[in-house]
Amino acid sequence: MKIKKIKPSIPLILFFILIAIFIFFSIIADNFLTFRNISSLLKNMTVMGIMAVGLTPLMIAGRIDLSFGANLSLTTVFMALLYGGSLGIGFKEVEEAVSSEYFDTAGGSTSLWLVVIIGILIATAIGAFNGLVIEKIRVNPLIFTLAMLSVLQSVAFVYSNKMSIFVGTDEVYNIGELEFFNIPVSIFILFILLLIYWFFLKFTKFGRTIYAVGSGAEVSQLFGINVKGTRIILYTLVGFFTGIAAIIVFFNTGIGSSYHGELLLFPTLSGIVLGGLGFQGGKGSIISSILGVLILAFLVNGLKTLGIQSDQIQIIQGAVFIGAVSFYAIRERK
Amino acid sequence: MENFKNKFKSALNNIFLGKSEAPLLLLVYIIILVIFFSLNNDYLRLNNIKNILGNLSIPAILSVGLTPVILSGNIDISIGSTYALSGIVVGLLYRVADIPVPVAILAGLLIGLIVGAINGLLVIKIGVNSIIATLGMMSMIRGVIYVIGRRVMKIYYQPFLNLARIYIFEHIQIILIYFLVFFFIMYFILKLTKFGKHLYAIGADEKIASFFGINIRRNKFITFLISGGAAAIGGVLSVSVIGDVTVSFGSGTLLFEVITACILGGISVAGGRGSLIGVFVAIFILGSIRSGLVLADVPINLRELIFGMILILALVMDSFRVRKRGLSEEL
Amino acid sequence: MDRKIVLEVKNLGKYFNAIKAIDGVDMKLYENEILAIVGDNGAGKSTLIKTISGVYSKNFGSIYINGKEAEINNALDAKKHGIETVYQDSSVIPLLDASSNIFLGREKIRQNFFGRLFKILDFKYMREETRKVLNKFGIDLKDLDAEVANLSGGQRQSVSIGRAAYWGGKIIILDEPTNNLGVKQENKVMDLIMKLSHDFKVSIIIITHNIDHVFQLVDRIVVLRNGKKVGDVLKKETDKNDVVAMITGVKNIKMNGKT
Repeated sequence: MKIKKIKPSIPLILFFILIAIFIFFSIIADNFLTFRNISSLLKNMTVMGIMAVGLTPLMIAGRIDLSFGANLSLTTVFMALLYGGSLGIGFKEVEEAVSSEYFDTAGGSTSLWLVVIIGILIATAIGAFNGLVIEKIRVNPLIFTLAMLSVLQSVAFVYSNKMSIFVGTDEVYNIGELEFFNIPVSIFILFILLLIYWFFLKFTKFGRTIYAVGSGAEVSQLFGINVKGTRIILYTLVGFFTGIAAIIVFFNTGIGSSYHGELLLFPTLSGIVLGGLGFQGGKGSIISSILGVLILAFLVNGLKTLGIQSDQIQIIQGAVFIGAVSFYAIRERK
Repeated sequence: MENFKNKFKSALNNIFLGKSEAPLLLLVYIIILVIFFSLNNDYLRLNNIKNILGNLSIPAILSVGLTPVILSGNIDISIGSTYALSGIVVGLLYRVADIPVPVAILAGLLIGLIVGAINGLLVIKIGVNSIIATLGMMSMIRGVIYVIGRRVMKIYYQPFLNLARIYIFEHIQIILIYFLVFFFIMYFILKLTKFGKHLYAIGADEKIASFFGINIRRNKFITFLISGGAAAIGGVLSVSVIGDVTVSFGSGTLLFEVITACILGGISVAGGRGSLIGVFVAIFILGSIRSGLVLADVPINLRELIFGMILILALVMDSFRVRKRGLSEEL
Repeated sequence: MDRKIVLEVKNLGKYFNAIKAIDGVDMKLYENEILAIVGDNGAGKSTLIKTISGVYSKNFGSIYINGKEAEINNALDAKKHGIETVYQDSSVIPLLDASSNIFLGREKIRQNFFGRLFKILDFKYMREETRKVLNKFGIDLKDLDAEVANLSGGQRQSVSIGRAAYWGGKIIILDEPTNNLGVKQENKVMDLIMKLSHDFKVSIIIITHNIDHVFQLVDRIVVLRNGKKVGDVLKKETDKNDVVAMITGVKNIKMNGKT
């Protein structure tokens, strides 16, 4: 399955933009081109990158999920509570448990493996739930996932009392700081996931099915493709990838918080739309999405090193988002 | 006997799945009142009722303003941030730039129209999906608010405070009157004017609407102006009620409350159907639930969760309604 | 006649709530013939062939393929019985290329271990087969990887018709194949249909509004009106006026040459 051929191709343009931004900030900003800055940048973007990779096939298939940020938050909260041993007790007790740091530094009360597995299960289950409701009951995907965002966020608030749950034991940080050849493990995870999904999208029947569903759902149905089933699987996978991202966040920060996801939602979406992922389906690629996320990450980081404040950066981010969707919308019309 | 059973069945069908949501909603409303009254007898006291009415008035204005947008097949999720921005602008102009209050208020309202116009431009002229466009705007406006609004702005100017705080006949808050007036105007527009009928047509089937010569672009654009304007009105009134404005003004749950009222009230996400009457009842239901939960000592996080689930429930119900009419066999 | 009946429907009916789209239709399709189904808007032509091809499931009546009763509840069932359909607007996916469309839902998998494990596509095979089948219709696409949306209307139809022929359809249904095409493209599509009939030896049902095309192409004409069959005549035993009269109901029912 070839990417839509247009001279020049979108990934190429994006790549050049990325290089241009990189060079620009290297020259302009002093602290930009340091090993420390770049590696911190890359480390931060892996989480967004992983979620972007997970979302891309879903959007190619013509659907959207706005609740993944809240999903991530909720998952980290549950992981923190589970690890810290305070899951399953009443709301008032959570308040007390959360406000006192009674975990010793060696380890939590639940095995870390179990915590990880349950985290992935929760996130995946939420994704599956989204998929089932949207495809079986046929609610409007955009508004429903928006509503789920609110619901999941609320649940996270309930269980964390709107506070951050700190469970940063040595055990946790040791894993969070794992590196191979000086490169954080999370980047390898991103790379592997990226590769796998890219391969599946381009070379397998599953990938082609996704493109078919996205650009011609009725016709696909006529030819025996299980349109709804495909989308449900993709929603579940979004949940799965969000779970992986949640785990990485958990190990990196040692914190379960209902605010993790909120901060990641918009930048991830911005990266994806920069990569040209339309909301109408049938087009897009993993490469473009990752490039989009990278461009945004470099842009934000570069601006930060120039001393521009986060609020102003948010305006720029919003403008980039609007600019990107407008650009692709206009292109679509021609 | 058979005949009676059939009629009863079809009446039930109508209420749950069909023509009008209002009867079902009224029924639900009564049940809710009963439940909450039994949980806390203060519920039906005059004081509390005044409370409920006062709290729901401003979000209600936003819901009424949002309705035309949804009817014509779009949505505007930037209303929360527009609401906040208008408030901030009024505060800034008055406190910082020393501009007379009436002008500041006008500026605040104008902001709402400007945001609405930009939304309209993005959705109609450029062709961006309305959720995406308004999502982007919401984010950008939030950023703008943080940049320009980083201070507490208190407003002591009595006439301005009176704008939203005075009571009529001792018991009725004036914001309730504003809401009712706005509601009746919008109801009149939607039910009795050509514009209103056109909106329903556009929401129901754009292709056919355009065959009949309806100017889809212009009409849709106007709906965004309405939602932006209503949000701005709400924002300005809110500042008057609260008396000051800060960066955290109007964040979070407002947007979802407003949307929930519309959808619960029967405005279909698919566009083209629903009545303001349903929205009216839904607004009261939500306001009453909120008050009831507070009086029953339900913690705030749980309250927000319950409202989220109400929205989901409303969406699912809306889905079933749309399917029952055989509208969507789509994939 | 002694010819083989490849498809027969008896008393076929499909209702949509109160609307009786088709209401007890009897129809035969003989081997190797080209049959036209005509009728005014709402006569039931589309519903009839959609019921036969599995898009709709019938409310009553029976369908027989080669003499045996067939259960057709979805599009896949129909394909299993050798019924391939070309819907209006070609039923192609515009953003995909020709071979993706031809192999839609039936993609060829590479036969090695990994291929079967991950269902890796055999692009080479599919492109080759696509080229071959399009050549049989006299179509030579310069860029086989082009999105079908960028092809001409006639080329798009060739992809669609080629798909139907390629998968061994013995009964091929064409729903308004020349709709929305310019005159030149229309003629090209008619050539395709002729080729289909002569070279592939299949039985064809065509739905069309265009009476001229009917008389250029087909062997027999079935007329529907208000969900019922009101005419069933050989082309050579009737003329345009006759047919139009049956469509509009001016003329009375005419079956097999008798009024």
